[in-house]
Amino acid sequence: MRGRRQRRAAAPLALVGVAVAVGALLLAGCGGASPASPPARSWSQVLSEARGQTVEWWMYGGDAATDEFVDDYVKPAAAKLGVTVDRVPVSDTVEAVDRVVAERKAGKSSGGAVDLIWINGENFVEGKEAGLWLKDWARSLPNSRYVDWTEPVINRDFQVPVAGQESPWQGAAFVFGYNSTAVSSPPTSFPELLAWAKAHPGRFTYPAPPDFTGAAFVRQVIQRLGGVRQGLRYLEALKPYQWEGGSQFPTSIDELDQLFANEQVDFDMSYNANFLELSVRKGEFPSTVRPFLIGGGALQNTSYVTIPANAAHAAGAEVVANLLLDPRLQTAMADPGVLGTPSVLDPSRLPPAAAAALRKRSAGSPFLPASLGEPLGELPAGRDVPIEEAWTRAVLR
Amino acid sequence: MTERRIGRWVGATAIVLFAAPLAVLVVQAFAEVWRYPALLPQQLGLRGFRVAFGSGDAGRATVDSLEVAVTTTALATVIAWPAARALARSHGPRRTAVLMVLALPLLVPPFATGTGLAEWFIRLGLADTRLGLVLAHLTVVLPYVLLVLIPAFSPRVIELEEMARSLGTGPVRRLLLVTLPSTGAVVAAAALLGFLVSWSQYGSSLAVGGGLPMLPLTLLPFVGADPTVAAALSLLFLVPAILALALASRGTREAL
Repeated sequence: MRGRRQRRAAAPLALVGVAVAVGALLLAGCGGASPASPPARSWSQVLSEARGQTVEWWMYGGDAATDEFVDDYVKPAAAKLGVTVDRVPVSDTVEAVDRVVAERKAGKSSGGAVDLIWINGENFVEGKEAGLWLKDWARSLPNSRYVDWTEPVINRDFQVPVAGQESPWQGAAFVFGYNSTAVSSPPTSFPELLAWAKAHPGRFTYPAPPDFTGAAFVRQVIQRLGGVRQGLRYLEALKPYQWEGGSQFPTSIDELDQLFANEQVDFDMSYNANFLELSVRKGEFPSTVRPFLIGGGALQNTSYVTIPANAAHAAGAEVVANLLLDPRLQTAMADPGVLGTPSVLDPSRLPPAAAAALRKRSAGSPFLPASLGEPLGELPAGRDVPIEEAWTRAVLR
Repeated sequence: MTERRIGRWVGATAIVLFAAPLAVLVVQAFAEVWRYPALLPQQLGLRGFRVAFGSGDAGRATVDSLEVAVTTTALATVIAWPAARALARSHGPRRTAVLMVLALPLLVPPFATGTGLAEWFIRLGLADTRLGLVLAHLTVVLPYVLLVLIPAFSPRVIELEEMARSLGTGPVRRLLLVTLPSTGAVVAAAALLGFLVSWSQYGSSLAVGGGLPMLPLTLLPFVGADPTVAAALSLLFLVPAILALALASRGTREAL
């Protein structure tokens, strides 16, 4: 998910934007309007209502692989059901949320221009608090029976209950990358990483939070080392052995990608488990790059889609959200040659043949870790900003 | 240094300053593999163009952007024309006040105008429509066109018009034979500026037309994330701009 990290890079700004917009909304006195729940209806009613609708899916528009997946797999499958899917590109998810907020302020409680949003944790939480999303639909999608809703990484988005207001579609796992021609065995734990950095000064760095990937790296360190204080002390100890002696940090993940591609540092990282293959395909990395995990398991979260309460084509949007959970589409998505993101389906809930196809498709790529290990969950959404501030005070200065 | 040599130096500097970045853009658009420290891409290809144009989204966005930019420019020129004429002949603090008010959309940060526009355009049902985008662009384009047009109506032009009138020339012939030929260069420059401002609008396009994405909205997400695709889209972005520039420079030359 290059997309996710791009959009989250602007998270603090985005948060401010949403907060201001939501605040204005409450002041304007329109905050009380409760979001619509879809009237109880059968799936066949949803299908017939959706027929002929064009779903405006607002989504991050900077990732060619995701665009192609939507065009090659989602659009044809939706067309068979009489639903047209229109990708509306945004450079940051908050743009879609801003639009929904503007519609709310303008008193447009139905017929909204945004039918479906590829949402991220922070924006979902803000919108949920403001009552922007359609309620109680995600668990009624027929294909949601393949999803293990007891799994915390699915049931909670950055520790906030999903509550049927968003439906999962892609798994995200934090993976590191190294070049096998330069490094023979990469570190497997954070203490090992520190030892490695001391032995190879200047060959490691991470993007400075609030970059999405850099912030996730810092959160991971904090979780693995058992607390904010321990984590920050570790990062302080690491700093002098970083690229440029720690006097500079890449300001974005794109910058770190560039340093890694230029062989100025030995390791790269991403919240997209398949980032190495996607970058090799784009000609940015050589094909000798390999993945590795630090700490025994990947930090994981889930990408969701949500439907605004005022969406003009909510039925069509539900049909698309359901298709995104279709075992065939999920298998294509898990293919490293397509997107290679971990599936959000629980193989034990699938028919045996579909489960086997899913396992087979996602296995065997040299660019994906053989196993994602014991998943490490995300910290609650509200803790991001304090951690980033603490990092700025303790490590950056 | 002779005047000629100075000219040559200025020319060379201009080429380095303007043409070099353009050349990098072209190379980047065709770069399939381009890794440090190579000066040129290791492998050339059409991936950037395939991604940029494969889905047809960029093509649609280009057509929409062109329609909006041409309509906006035409409307802005027609509206600004009489205003510029009147302003050219007025003086004193009232003129300054009127100019200030007209230039206000340029002085206020685009983000602020965008947010305000969004809510009202949604109320009026204009969001995501071509008409809505034209009106939104007009708020920014009109002041530029007007400011450029004012000097077109110099006292000399007004005198020529008066002379033609006293010789019995009708209003249409006066416009075609006197006013347009003597103001053509400035009108062409104003229209060019108007077109380019509309063509590259990001903020107002996003605010009122996020659902009908203009070309800059399609381009921006790729910047940074996928430089090859971004470069391919930028080339598409450049073509109409260069055409408009060529057209305008012809317009200015003919008029002079």
